Amino acid sequence: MKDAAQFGPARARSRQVLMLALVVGMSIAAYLAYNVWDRIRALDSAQQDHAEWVFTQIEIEFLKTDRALTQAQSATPEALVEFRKRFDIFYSRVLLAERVRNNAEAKPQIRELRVLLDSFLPVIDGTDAQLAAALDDIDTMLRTVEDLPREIALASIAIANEMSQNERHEIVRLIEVMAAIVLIVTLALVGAVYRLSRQASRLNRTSQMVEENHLRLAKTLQASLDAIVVINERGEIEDFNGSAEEIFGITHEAAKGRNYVSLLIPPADRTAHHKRLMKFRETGETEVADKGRREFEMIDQNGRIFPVEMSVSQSPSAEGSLFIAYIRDITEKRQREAEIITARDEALDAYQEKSRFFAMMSHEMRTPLNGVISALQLLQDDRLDNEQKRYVDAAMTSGEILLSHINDVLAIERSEAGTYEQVQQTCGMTVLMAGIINTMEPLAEAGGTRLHLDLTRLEDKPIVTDPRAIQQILVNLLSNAIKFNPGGDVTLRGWFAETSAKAGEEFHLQVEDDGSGIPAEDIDRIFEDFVSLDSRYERRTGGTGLGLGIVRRLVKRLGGEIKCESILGQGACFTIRLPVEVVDAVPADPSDNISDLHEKRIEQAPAVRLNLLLVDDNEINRDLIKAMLERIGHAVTLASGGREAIALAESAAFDTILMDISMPDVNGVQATKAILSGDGPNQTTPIIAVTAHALPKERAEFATVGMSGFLQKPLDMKVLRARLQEIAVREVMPDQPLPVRLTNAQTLVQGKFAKRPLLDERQMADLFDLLGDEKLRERVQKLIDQVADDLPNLMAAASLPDLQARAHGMAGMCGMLGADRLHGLLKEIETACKTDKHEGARGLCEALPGTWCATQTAMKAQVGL
Amino acid sequence: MIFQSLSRITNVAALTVGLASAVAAQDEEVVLQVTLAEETHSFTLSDLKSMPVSRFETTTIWTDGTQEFEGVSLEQLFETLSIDEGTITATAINDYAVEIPMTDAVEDGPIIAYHTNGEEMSRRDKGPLWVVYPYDSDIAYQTELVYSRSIWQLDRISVE
Repeated sequence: MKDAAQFGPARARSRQVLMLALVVGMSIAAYLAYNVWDRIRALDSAQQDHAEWVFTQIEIEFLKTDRALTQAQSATPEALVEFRKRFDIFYSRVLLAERVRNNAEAKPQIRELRVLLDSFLPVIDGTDAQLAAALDDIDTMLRTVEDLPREIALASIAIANEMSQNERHEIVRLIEVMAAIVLIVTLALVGAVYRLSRQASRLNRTSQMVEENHLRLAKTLQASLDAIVVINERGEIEDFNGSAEEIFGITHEAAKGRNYVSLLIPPADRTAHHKRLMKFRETGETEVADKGRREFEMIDQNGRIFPVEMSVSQSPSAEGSLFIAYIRDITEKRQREAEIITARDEALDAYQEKSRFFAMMSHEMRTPLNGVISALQLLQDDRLDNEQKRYVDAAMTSGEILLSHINDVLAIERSEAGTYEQVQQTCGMTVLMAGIINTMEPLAEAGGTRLHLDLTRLEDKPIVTDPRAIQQILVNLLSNAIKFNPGGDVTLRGWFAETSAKAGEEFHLQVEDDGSGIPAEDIDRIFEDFVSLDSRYERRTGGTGLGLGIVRRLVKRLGGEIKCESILGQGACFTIRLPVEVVDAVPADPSDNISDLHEKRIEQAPAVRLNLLLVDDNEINRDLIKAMLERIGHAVTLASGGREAIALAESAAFDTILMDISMPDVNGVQATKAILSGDGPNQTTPIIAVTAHALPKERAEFATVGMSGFLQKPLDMKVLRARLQEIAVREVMPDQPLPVRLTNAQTLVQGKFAKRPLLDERQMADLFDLLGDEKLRERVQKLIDQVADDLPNLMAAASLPDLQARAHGMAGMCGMLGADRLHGLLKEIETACKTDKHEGARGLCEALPGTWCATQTAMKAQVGL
Repeated sequence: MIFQSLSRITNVAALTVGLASAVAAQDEEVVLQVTLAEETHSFTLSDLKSMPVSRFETTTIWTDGTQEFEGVSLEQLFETLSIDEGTITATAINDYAVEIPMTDAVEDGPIIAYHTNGEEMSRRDKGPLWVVYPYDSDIAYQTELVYSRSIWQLDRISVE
């Protein structure tokens, strides 16, 4: 059909050309035929008498005249009459010959003859005597021209021949032309006939093909697994295939001609279908046809309503549009889908159940651990002999490891629950990486592992990212590497790379070790949760198998990728690619200048004996914390639950209330509300939450109800002391506001750093050997300048991660040049930041200027600046 | 019989005076003899002129331009002589003879012309009698057969 439409115009045009040629050819042939016929008619009506006859007659008449002359010379009067007659006849013949057309050949001779005859006329018309006397002369004269008649006759034959030849040629030419035209016309006709027969045979072939296609299509439709229903634009069923018969339980014969709406559509949907049909008939717009697959409900002979997937195509036909609907019963598919969804839901439920179980178990484990660690801490402070002290230390270490495992599990749970908060901020990767290396150094030293920081490929520039996440990633990777590579080398690398696809940059982090490596078949598995490849080693190193799972989650959260390459026995290399946003300049941190910080300074006030109320439903906890508090030097009143706490708070005023949260009957939050809103003397008393579990949401709730702080169980005595010292300061200086921000404040105001030497003499000596006097001086001067520049920014850092990053960076620089105490202090700040201990970090910062001053002086003295 | 005796007289007269004034004597000379099975009719120009005159204009292949011919139609002649069948043979003075079918003798058909353009025709120029068809009036007269029947210097007609 498409071909005929394409070739149609061309075919019509060639047909026109052919017709035109035929008409022209036949016209020409007709014209020529007329011409020939005319010519033949002209032949029929001769335009002149036989010229030869006329000319030959001259010769005869000449001879007759000559004979008459001879007789006349014998002088009888009758002979003269006869001569005159003959002469006249001869003369008339010459006259005739003169008048004959096409006599050119004979004209001179005729002329000559005529002139001679004219000269005889006076004598001929004269008297008999005159004539008789002139006969001899005439005879003589005639003798002189006696050859002329013969010549004329001969010439006439040539003339006649030529004329008839011309005539014949002309006719032959005409007939030839006509024959040619007839030939051409005949050829054209033959061509046309050939063409027509070709067309006819092609048409035959085409219709045969169409017939075959039609048959094949019909067979295909009949064999189709989908039900196929053909309806016309009035909705009447035109065709109904075998599958349709099966699906709807209606035979082809029964379906044909029926309206599909009343036959196949459930009553509830019929109006919509009728409307659609009506709309199509009015506007020609289709809503379903040629619009891909749709799902509908249909009804079978038995009234079963079932879901179908239907695809409708529209096809024009002689009697309006036809719709061909391909219908598939998707009841089973739906069932399967439902089953899959149920299975998925069940699996999800089970997973969440498991997750909840882990969280619960972790929490439940942490509470008794609180007790264990607190008891051990108390024990540590007691006088013990060396052996006992070792046991207690071992117990403490084990307790801390156990706690970190529980924290790992909770971290996973938090990230699964989506409670992890991503903090985007500007930071420098050099500082961040150096900080991490410093942090990990103690661990590395313990295992005899050497840590290296390779920054040769890093052209550092500030980027916006979540440094906490990156730190977590690096800590996990590095601690893994250290754990599995005792006595080996671990290298951390970082560099920026252009991404090919996006107009952005990527930051690449690489942690490489030369340890035992990971078997190829396990590489994909290591990022799964709870995977520990070497259970034997696991026992030695400890670990939940969650470290890389956490890394994977964090990397994914940052939009990056992690991959691991390893050659068994030669080490492993983890490479992380993170998309980062590069910022052009380090934004100046306008908040918190040094003077502000000084105003906020918490003086190292002597411990003030505070009157405390400790609320906890767990008796062991209660007794342990009470012992801790009393050791620090505070007075403690105990309450075993929320209700008792409220009652006590109504009767006596306390400096601070330490409130457990999870308590039966009245919980900590409810008790806090009651106390703060009650009439008692404790309406403004700071209430600090003491709990083992505190998700950000819960902490927000603590703040909402008016709690002043939050302490994480298990309680560390140093933390307790520091926290309470803030309260004590406030007691001394009532103007000093309590920090409003709720933190997990394990503040270590009096850090270990103070015990370190100002300078590491050995390291300085090594550096001197390595660099020489001049270079070392240069380096020291550089460090002094750098720290002088960076310190105010560090002190003024607005956020913990920022502070952490800056502390990292500075710690790295200081550590390199042997500024041991400052290095230790900065690392503690960084640790405090990392563990989200705001107050601790800030408190430690206060020690920075003094420590720096001393360090600077010592260094200058050392290198002779 | 009258014609016969008349022609005999004429013949004698012609023999005696013919040469003195050939032209003047022409009218009374026998110019045409019509021979029937038994009898011969002789006609002088006057005889012919006294018969009803037929006249037409036509071109001929032997003359230039349109000529007016005047004479006795063959039909008239044969009617006069009560000839209605037989073969007509016309003969000229030089004994040129041709057969003219009876069917040619029709109204507005050939005439035995004695005047061309009002003048008598000399023996030297197809005279004195010339059987002329009205060639222009009918293409059927423009055939060689008809031309051959257009006999001039006619002096005898025989009907058999």
